[in-house]
Amino acid sequence: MSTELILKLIAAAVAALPSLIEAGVNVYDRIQKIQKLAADSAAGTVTQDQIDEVRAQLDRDLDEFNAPLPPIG
Amino acid sequence: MRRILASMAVVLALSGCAQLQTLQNIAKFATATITNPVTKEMEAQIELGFDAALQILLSYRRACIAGTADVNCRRNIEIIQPYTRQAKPLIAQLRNFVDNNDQVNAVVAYNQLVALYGNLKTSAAAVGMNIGSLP
Repeated sequence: MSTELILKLIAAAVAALPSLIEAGVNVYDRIQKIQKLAADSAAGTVTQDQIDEVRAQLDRDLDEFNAPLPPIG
Repeated sequence: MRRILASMAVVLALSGCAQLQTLQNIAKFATATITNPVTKEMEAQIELGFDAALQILLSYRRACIAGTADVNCRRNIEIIQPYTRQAKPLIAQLRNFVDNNDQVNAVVAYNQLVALYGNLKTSAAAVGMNIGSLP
């Protein structure tokens, strides 16, 4: 394998790292929220603000993913 | 060098899978029935579960736009999008039914959303993405 190809592979892997880490952090955040919701639900202390926040977050994320992909450029 | 990159990818993939396994273990998305009505808490649970899976897809989309994902990423995203687009109105309906305590329709919408998640998961897996599962 040529040095140039190896460097390109490293560059591609490093470029992909932030998005992979971001995804991991965000999944972990949602899991934390599910745990808190379950605990609050058992305690009967879930607030409407909590529900509204979950709804708004999912709306934002769905809108982003559902948007048409921008042209390659 | 290839081994190092492959190891890095495997570690990242496994950590994502482990998190989704945790999600599977803690979230209980039971089938709703009239005798097991859809509460706001249940609705929020399934929305958070859906949103957790969406984070993997969003990350892939962002990488695709940035040009750091695989060459088939645009086609892969377009294969998955019909399912996430169906989810939007279904979730809006579910919220409305839950808010108005219309349990007959809330149960139907809730169970449709659980089924849609299954289809989304299958579709994502077909293009090589593990987005976890709802038990």
